[in-house]
Amino acid sequence: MIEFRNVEVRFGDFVALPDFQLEVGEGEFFTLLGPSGCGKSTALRTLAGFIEPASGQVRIEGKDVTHLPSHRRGIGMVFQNYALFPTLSVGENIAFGLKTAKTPAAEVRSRVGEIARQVNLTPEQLGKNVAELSGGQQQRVAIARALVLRPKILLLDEPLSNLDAALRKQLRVQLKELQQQFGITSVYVTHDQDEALTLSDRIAVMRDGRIEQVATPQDIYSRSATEFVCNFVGEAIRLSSADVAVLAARGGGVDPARPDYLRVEKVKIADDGGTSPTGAVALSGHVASRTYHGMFSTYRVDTAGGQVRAIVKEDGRRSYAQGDSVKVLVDPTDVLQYATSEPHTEMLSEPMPAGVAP
Amino acid sequence: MSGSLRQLLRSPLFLVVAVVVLWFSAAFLIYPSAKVLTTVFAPEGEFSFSAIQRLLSSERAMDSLRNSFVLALVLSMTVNAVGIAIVLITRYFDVKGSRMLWLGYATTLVYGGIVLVAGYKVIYGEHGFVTKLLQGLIPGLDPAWFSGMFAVVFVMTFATTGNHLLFLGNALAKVDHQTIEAARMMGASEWTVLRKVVMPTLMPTVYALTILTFLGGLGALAAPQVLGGKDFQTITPMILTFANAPSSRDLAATLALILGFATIALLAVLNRLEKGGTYFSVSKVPTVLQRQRIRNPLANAAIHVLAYALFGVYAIPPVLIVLFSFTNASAIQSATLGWDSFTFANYARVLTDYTAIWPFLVSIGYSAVATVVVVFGLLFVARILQRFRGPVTAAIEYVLHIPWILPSTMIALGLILAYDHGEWIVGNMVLTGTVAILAIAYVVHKIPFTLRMLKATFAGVDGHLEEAASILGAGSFETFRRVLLPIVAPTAAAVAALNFNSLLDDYDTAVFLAHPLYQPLGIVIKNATSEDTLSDATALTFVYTVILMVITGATMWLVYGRGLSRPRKRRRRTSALPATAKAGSEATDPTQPARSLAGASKE
Ligand SMILES: Nc1ncnc2c1ncn2[C@@H]1O[C@H](COP(=O)(O)OP(=O)(O)OP(=O)(O)O)[C@@H](O)[C@H]1O
Ligand SMILES: [Mg+2]
Repeated sequence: MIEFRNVEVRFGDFVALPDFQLEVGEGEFFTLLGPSGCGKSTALRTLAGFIEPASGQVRIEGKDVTHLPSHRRGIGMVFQNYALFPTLSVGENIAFGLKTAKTPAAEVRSRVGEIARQVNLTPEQLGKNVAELSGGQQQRVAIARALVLRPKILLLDEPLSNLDAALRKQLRVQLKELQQQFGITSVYVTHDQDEALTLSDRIAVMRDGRIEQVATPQDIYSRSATEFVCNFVGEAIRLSSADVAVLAARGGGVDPARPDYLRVEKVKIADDGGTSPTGAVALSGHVASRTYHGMFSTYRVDTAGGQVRAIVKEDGRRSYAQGDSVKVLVDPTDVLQYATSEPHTEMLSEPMPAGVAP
Repeated sequence: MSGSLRQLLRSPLFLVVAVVVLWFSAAFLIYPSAKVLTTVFAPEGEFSFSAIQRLLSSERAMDSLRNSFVLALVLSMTVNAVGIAIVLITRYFDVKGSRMLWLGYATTLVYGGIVLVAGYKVIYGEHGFVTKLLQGLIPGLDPAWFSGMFAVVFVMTFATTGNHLLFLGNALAKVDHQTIEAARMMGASEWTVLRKVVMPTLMPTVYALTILTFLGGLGALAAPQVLGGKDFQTITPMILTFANAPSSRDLAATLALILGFATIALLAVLNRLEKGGTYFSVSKVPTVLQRQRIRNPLANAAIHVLAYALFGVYAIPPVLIVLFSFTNASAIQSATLGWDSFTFANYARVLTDYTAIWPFLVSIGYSAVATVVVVFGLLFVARILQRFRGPVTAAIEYVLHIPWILPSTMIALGLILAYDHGEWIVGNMVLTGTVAILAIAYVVHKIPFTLRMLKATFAGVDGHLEEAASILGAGSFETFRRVLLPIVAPTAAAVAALNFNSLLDDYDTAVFLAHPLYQPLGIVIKNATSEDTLSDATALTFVYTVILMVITGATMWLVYGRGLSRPRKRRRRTSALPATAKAGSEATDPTQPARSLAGASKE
């Protein structure tokens, strides 16, 4: 459906996308995920026709559209803050593209009415000023405005990032429902892994203009292809070489020479001295700190090799206090190993682990 | 950059605009300024210092130079003293009746320039009402007591404190009240708080206002001309005198050049000052400034006396002007006001007598034409400058700001010198002495302010709107018409209203360029002040003044007041102007920090 072939985008001397390759299938909800400045918007805007690549091809339905103006590519776009025209009414916003195309007035009316029904906008709301609508209604107007022209592809550039947390969650659901309702091929840009994991059929994780991994949300999370992806998505701890050595010695199939990561929620804690479940390797240590979050707790445990962080679901039955001797249980099959070692500076903050978020 | 230039050249609309702008800049901004230079340094086509030598040997010219600098210096002190006082009285101290006081002090915001000077002259001048009253009290009083440097300083001091009221008032409003409370809790006295906590935060604004005041004094025209008398003439009236005789135009040009250099130098200093920054409240939750009660009863009484004395000085002239607009000349002349002196005859005359309404029509015509041309034209220009950034557009923008750095006197003189003979760039027409030249000058004069405001508005428009429009199939003109224009329209209207309003009572430019048969209001009002006796023409000027005050007041209210005074539910635009246009707001355009303050107040 959509294809980037060796696309290179430059801004002056700066190469934003060195050699971009991507394919998106029909009807897919595809997400470009990555940290700020990695080139997600650039890729999307190249697809939209706002940026002309220095070389390479952009193809839609097998047709080369690299030099086609935006409105002839059969795409609709939803912008970060929706970019609704403030001086036009809701109905006029939706009708804008139809009027530009000199559609007869009667058809404009019927098509605007039809799309408004589909996105649940009442006729009364169509007469309103866009500023009078709530964030959720504005999103539906933006989607209606894009879809009324019956595009083949819908592009969305961080449409939720300007909203507060509660509304963002709510609108995420609305967005997914609308996309499924229309079944339209969508390319979605976000730096929010949570959004990407919950919405997408497939995700491309980007970094510095390059794609690190393209996969389903499950694979991105549990089979992160690179150390960068592992750190960017979810929360992982890097095991110290001493702990890795212990794991290797006690029968885990891990290679002590490589960097090893563990998803924090995969780490278990048990009473020192109790029996370990089969397959798990135990490291003994002492609880250095515990932070209570309600649904779960974060433990930091000092082991022989260093400190291990673990996120443990609070079932109200067993908890450990600072200084307690505990066993840290690790299933060696959960360990993610990468070929090259590099300092993971990309992880600027400690995001909530996607799987355990409250 | 080159890409965007290519894009620009591809759009026929933008191309036409670009060509017009380049021609206009070359013909009316660059060439006239260059003409002033060549008139000074190469009057005969060869480089020479003869004009400067002639100037140095002219006693009158040298006197005027000295007087101008003295006036500028004195004003810097008096205006600050009065300006700071009225701001503290209305905004800082707990003075009874501060709202009414503010209204009184703010009268100079609705009448200024030649109108104000003429008003003072007719009231305090030789045949003035107050003079007549005083003569009754003090028999030996010189009827010309209100003239010379004292009168000029007095009038200009009260005429220019409006900037303090707006800008300094705004700066004061931003002082975090918690800092004052903290200082008080540590035992600081009211005086110490004012000196150590409040004043330091105001100082950057005070410096900027000082420079603007200095510039105003340096370039003053109406006040010294009308009130200065023989002994206190300053540069600009002298330029006017020299410019009127072709043989001394080189002297006029030389004086104008000196004025121009002084202006540029001071604006450069202002720019530096504003780059140094203002003090920002470090508090995340600054609390609103509360008025300070003065606990010492003696000081409190003194402040109240001062406040109401100043109120009298500010309010008496406009009140008398309104009063006199309803009386006949003889009543003013004899200083006897009775019930039967009041009449609507003056207003009736302005409305019915063609000759009486003519100057008004001329002023309205000029203001309207210039306003429409400058606002409409710059809508496109501002858009292009904001959209296509590059060395070419940056250069154009600098050129368009020439009228902001050069005094209007120099621009007017430049136009006279440049087009008193045919030049190919304007189709070999002689413009000097025609009706057109004043309109051109007005357009030129209004370019910087208009451009700044419109550009700021365009910059504030979400860039995604255009992308959204283009993905929906709209071309660049359609996007401009259907999306951008409606968004900037309120600002454009507000800027147009301000432009129109400020051109309506223009004197400084008109006195150089007006056609003898098409004299705008400013000139007519000024001429009325030089008549020997009070005639019905004087009464007419009162009517003109009242009408102008009403128009200005209404404009100010429409542009600035509405959004503030009506606490309705939050609308998309509370005020029609972008932040830079609001009095006292900081610069939002980092490339031109000084212009926010100066740009707005120079208007
Ligand atoms: N018009 C432009 N001119 C110059 N550089 C640009 C331009 N647009 C983007 N860039 C640069 O290209 C890089 C990628 O930008 P892009 O906007 O695609 O990032 P992004 O992944 O969308 O980030 P964000 O999450 O912050 O939106 C950045 O380093 C940015 O500075
Ligand atoms: Mg982006």
